[in-house]
Amino acid sequence: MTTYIIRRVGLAILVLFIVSIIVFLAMRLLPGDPILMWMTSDDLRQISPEQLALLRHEYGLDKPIVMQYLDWLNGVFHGDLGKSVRYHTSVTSEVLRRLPITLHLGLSAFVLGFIIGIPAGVICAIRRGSWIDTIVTTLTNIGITVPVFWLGILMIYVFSLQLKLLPTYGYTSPFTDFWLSTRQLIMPVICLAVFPIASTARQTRSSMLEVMRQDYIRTAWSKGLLERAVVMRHALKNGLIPIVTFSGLGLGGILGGSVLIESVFAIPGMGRLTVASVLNHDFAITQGVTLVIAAGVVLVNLLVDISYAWLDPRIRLG
Amino acid sequence: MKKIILLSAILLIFTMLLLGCGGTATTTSPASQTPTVTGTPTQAGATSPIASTQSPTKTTSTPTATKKYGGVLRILDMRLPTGSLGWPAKINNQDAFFLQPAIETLIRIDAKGVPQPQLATSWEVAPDRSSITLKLRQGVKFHDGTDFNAQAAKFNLDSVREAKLPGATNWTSVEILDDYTVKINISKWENLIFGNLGGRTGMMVSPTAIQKNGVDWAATNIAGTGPFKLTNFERDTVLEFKKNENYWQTGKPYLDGIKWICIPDTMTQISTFKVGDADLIQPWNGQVLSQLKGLPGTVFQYRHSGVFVLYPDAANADSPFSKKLVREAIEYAIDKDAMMKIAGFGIFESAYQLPCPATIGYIPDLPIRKYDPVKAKLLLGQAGYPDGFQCTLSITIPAPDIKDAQVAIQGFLSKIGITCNLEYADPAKYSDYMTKGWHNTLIYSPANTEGNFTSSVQTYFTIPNYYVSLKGPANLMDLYNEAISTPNVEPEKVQKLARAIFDDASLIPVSYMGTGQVYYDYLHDAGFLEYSSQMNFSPENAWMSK
Repeated sequence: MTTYIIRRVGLAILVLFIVSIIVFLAMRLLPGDPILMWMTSDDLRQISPEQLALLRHEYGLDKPIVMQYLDWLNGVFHGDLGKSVRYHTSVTSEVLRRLPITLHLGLSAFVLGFIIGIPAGVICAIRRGSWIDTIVTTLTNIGITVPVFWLGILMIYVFSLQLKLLPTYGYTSPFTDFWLSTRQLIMPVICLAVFPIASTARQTRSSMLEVMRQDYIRTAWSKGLLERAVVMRHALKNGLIPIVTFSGLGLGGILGGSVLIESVFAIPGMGRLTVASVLNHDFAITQGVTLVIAAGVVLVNLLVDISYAWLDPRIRLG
Repeated sequence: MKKIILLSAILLIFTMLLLGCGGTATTTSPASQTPTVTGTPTQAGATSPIASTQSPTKTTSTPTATKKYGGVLRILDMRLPTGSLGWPAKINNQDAFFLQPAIETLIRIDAKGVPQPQLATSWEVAPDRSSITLKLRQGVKFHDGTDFNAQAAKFNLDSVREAKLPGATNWTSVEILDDYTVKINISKWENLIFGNLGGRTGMMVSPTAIQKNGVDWAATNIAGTGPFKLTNFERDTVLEFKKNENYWQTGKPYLDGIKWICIPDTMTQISTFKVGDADLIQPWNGQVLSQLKGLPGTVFQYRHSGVFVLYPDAANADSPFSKKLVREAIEYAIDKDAMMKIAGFGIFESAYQLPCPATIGYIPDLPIRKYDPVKAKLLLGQAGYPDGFQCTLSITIPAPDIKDAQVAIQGFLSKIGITCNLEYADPAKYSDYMTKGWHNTLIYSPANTEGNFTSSVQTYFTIPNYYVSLKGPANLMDLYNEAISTPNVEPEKVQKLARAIFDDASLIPVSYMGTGQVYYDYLHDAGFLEYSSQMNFSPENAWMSK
């Protein structure tokens, strides 16, 4: 197991290193001068070649690309992700401001997806072909396909505009005002959770159906065990293994935030920051955010791999 | 298993009901409505092109009774400042609007483009136009408690001079004549200085605060003289101000605070406004404005602030657009009125000249180039392109209504034989176009032509290495110098300049664009239409009767 973990950690570090190079080069290869791009029309009018050169020097853009990369990497190791050319502020502070918001939103949706999706999938599997299976399967099909931004706008129309129950926008820290924070999060979390609920339910159903056909389950039934014991003790434990992998991938994606949901509900999270930085060629933010997201995905995948090995001895022994 | 599932479901439903059934959130602080000041609120929107309408269900006049104190004005916008907040040399021009509650300028420019006193009470141009002397207002304090005086003004004016902000490039020095008088020495007089001193070039912030805390501190902090102090700023989220109790205009401001809320999605914006979680909305597109126009209990205001134009690469000798006949043909080929009927949302209007109506430079009786495809085809033939040609039609804003306009223009031009390949010039490409030039291409993009038109001419035609593919008429610089060299702006000279550009079809106007506000009728005297340029708001006078 230790060898397995060391090998996985080594691979994770290698992946992060490669990601950092790709992101750094990708931003440099994009067309357009990042310094010229963030300038307003007025700035462009008045900027002299000397001032332009000074700005390039300030952001380290006058150095060879390898030196720029090494400088950036050195900063990353010291917790400094650079300075945004658009906001003129530290990327680290901007990421630290937005990451908790995205995590709060994403983890809430993730947990909701688990809480509703797994029981729904289990019920469908053990009551296969019944009316409840039909209804849940239909709902999960809708949940998989429904556009989240459309659902968000629809929810705002119903719950905010018509029923006046929930606020239309914004994010408040739960430590500042717990109830306002919760009320603000209900709609975005539901929107974000719709896909995880549906996909988890489908995956669980499929996985459970597979397991329920196994010989050892038949043996359990033939021993006269109660349905609860068969499902919970024998079937679910093995049926959940693919769900762990599946959910782990989803958990990694949370760090990136949801651009659509964050835009619809005016939540200042990582998704909006990422898109704005790409559109504005704010290379420092794009690099920093991508690295943070990549680190999160790699970490989650690492944990999933380790948990998978822990859950399934065949993997660690193989 | 069944029990667990049942219990989970009940718990979830119960939690959602509990959380969902609370009261609606509100960010407005309780208004302490103390009727101490009386006056008659001014009615905004006196002149064309300003439009101001109220819902038919409400009375059309602002109440003339006692002004009320209190309340926080909540404004919805799609964006918030991106540049520095408190250091004028680093403030983005388009951010100036957001900073008006806290930062004041030396002068203000009214809706007709006429300078009005603010922190400068009067000014005098030297007979030889080598300087302008400004008398400063006394008894004004910055938010940090320090005095606004000639030294503070010099500090600010020197900083914008050193940063070479527009309008300050010709300043040679700034002198202090006495405690409340400063003189700006100028190498070449330009009467555009008034417009510039009414914008960020004339913004005043506390030298003490800047010297003590540094310019980086000022990126997110403000120490101005305005009626409100900055209390909170979160990028892309919220910008909040609270009342400045030591404001120099006694008894003002009336509001307890102003809060800008950034909501990028237009549907959410509209819902938030309709549900009453905001008092004012500033939509950036006509579709949203049109949806909110006529909403019961609201006031709708709109004013042209610029014009969508086609920028031809007339400076390239081998481009078809270098020929005046081709440029004229293009204007005749586009049925602007038909475009506006479909994509004007009942708000935007066709533009046949560059200056906005009722601004300096606008020519009321100009013989315009109305839609005439036959004449367009004829002109194209005379220019040597009887069978048309191929070109690129580029847009710089990927908004749906602008893409629609691009397709419409492509359709109109195809009727006279010009085949346009459509393109979106992203910010990278656009900045390259502006500084390095474009070729055989028409760029469909907005031009700011509000206020004094000479300022627009300066932007598009006089700056080296900027809009390099544009070319004006041969006598452009003579007319421009004539227009800017008078002590005060002379509208006839600006009109001559506008006429020359029109005759040359140097830029091809398509439609006027504008800024609009929709607000609930309990908001009074915000003054959105009383001033031009980016500083077009009167936060010190605004009050709410709610």
